[in-house]
Amino acid sequence: MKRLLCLIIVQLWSVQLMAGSGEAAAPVIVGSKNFTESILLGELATQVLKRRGIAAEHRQALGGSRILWNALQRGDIDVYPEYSGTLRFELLASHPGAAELPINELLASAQLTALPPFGFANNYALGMVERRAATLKINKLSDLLAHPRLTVGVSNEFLHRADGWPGLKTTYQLPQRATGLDHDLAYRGLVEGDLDLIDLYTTDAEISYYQLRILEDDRDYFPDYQARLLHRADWTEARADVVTTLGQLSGTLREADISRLNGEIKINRQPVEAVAHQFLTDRLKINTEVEPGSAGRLDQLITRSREQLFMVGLSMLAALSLALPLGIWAAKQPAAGRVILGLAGAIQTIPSLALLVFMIPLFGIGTLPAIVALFFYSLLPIVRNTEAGLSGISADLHETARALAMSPLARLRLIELPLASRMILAGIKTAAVINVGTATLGALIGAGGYGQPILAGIRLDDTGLILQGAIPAVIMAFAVQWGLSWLEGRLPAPG
Amino acid sequence: MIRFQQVSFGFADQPLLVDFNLTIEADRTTALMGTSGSGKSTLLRLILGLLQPASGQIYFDGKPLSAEVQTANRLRSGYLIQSGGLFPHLSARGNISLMARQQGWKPQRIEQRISELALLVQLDESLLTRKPAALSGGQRQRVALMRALMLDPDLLLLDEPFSALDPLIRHQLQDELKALIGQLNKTVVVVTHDVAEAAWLADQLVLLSHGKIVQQGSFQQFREQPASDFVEQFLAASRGLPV
Repeated sequence: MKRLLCLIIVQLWSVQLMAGSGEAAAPVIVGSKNFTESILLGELATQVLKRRGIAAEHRQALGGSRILWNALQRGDIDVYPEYSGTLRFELLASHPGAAELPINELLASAQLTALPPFGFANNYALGMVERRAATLKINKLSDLLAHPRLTVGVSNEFLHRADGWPGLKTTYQLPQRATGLDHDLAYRGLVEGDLDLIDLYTTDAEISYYQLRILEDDRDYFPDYQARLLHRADWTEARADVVTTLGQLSGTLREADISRLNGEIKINRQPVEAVAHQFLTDRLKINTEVEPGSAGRLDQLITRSREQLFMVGLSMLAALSLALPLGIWAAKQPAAGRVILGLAGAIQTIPSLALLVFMIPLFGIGTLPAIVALFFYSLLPIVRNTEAGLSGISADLHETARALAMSPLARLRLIELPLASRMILAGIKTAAVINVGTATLGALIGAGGYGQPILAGIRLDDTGLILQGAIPAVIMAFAVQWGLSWLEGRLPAPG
Repeated sequence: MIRFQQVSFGFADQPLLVDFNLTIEADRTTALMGTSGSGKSTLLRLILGLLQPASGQIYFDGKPLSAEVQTANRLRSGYLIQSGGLFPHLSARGNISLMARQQGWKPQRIEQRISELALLVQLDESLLTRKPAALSGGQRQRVALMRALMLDPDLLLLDEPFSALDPLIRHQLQDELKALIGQLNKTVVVVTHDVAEAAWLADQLVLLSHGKIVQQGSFQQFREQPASDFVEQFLAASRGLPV
């Protein structure tokens, strides 16, 4: 058993070393938010850098504005695309003069700098299906006042941000209530008639594809959202090469361009890497022999499996090494046990997604925060079953072990743990299966794994892509379950 | 060998022993009898330090019980309970050799001792690879007895050793145990609610009721001079006594 454990640890480390090998200098980390346009802009930035021979890496779809903003300031990422309106009315809203100051004066307070705009604005808007809007005679936002029963579904970020739904509702005195949901799912709901009204980005390709009507903002509520790349202010000098290279993208994209590119990805299902590559070649004449990194399916699967296995394996090992002693302590000291089980139970009630996001301020983005979150999540089943397994041993056997002059440690090692082992293993099994499932959420904070294709699939409404992540995740969960059940069969029956 | 002096023990609202005094002679067999709840099993647990007296003193070979001598005392004692107390995850051999391995005995010495004991308790050695669940009740108690005798203890504490067995096996084991005690020349304390068993095995009988000694002496003394009506009733409740 000990040997097996050592083997697992060594394996996990070698997996990670392989993953990290072959990198000379630290690459520029480009981040993007979890929607198509942001990912496209991030990919453009990454490919431009690579074509100039600068090592760069794209961490796709890391989450919402706050996560990227904090990650940039912490140095977890080096560049990401942001919108001027988001900076003024959300991220730096509390700054005096946030609405009027030039963007770079405003950003100076956060030691950040914005490159000149890409050349298009992607504004927020509200939209309806054209025919429905025509029937109800709704053209502008103030027309909504006459239709209080409309069903409104908006993206979760829009629902809560200062320049989103709350301000809109106040400005127009809107009577409707809005529900929050994923932006890409909102389109489905709209087209299928479950929703009447959703928030849009004006560059969304779906607007023309689904024939949507954008409602006129007749009270000038929505600010201007010019897209720009942000970097830390000291990079202007320290990484002048990066800043100059990225500057080539400024002014290259008009609304029509970005809308078409978004459509290539979302409607025509082209890979974002290929779309970015094509654009750079055609429009910027930046041509190189470097093909966009479209690794083979098998390579991708291996990489994701490695990432997933690393997250699951390391978090489980860490959880085991804390949960076992805690469970033993809980069984030996019932008073402490109540506190321990209570705490572990409380952690379990935190929604997994929230727990992942809580880890970001402490550990940044990437694999580490995901592992820490999974570690916390795996504690309860193991602690609880260890405690229950040990407490369930009959008083007769406890007493006999003492009467045989065995030391407390010998009793624990030779009698109590073996007798509780089935119960403990059942707890480990529960934890591991939950862990494999929850680890797919790690992709939300840049940890990779099977969650990556799942998230991308949801974003692109591509079931095949979702299955590319979901099927291996299910197989891994089954494998873990099966492996541990096999081990369980070789353990002593409960006494 | 063992002396209880003014020992009190019990749970807050329910005292089991109050100012209890008893001397257990070395190299003899003493039977502790009584109805259930009379405190007879508690006496064995107190001797082994599994329970601590609320007040009073227990002497083991003249020395008062304390945490320092507890392990040594336990190593000098063999303990056998009604259910056998065998660990279900260990084979019979694993159970028997547990203490010897903890004491750092060489495997060869362990094997030799196990063979001796198997002969003594008349158990087929090939059964020792089995887990307790795969043994019959009688075989289990034989294994438990082997475990109790493994380190050749001076003191053998038997708590209702045969009461979970069917009458035929019980009878046979009682006979064997008597023969075995005769060979071994050890101090034996056997707790039982069965007068016949006590009379058959022990030189000295102690009848307890509600944590107090009602009568103490040989079986003959019990029969000829019962100390109270309770003693008479207790004896009468067991039929078919050996003469």
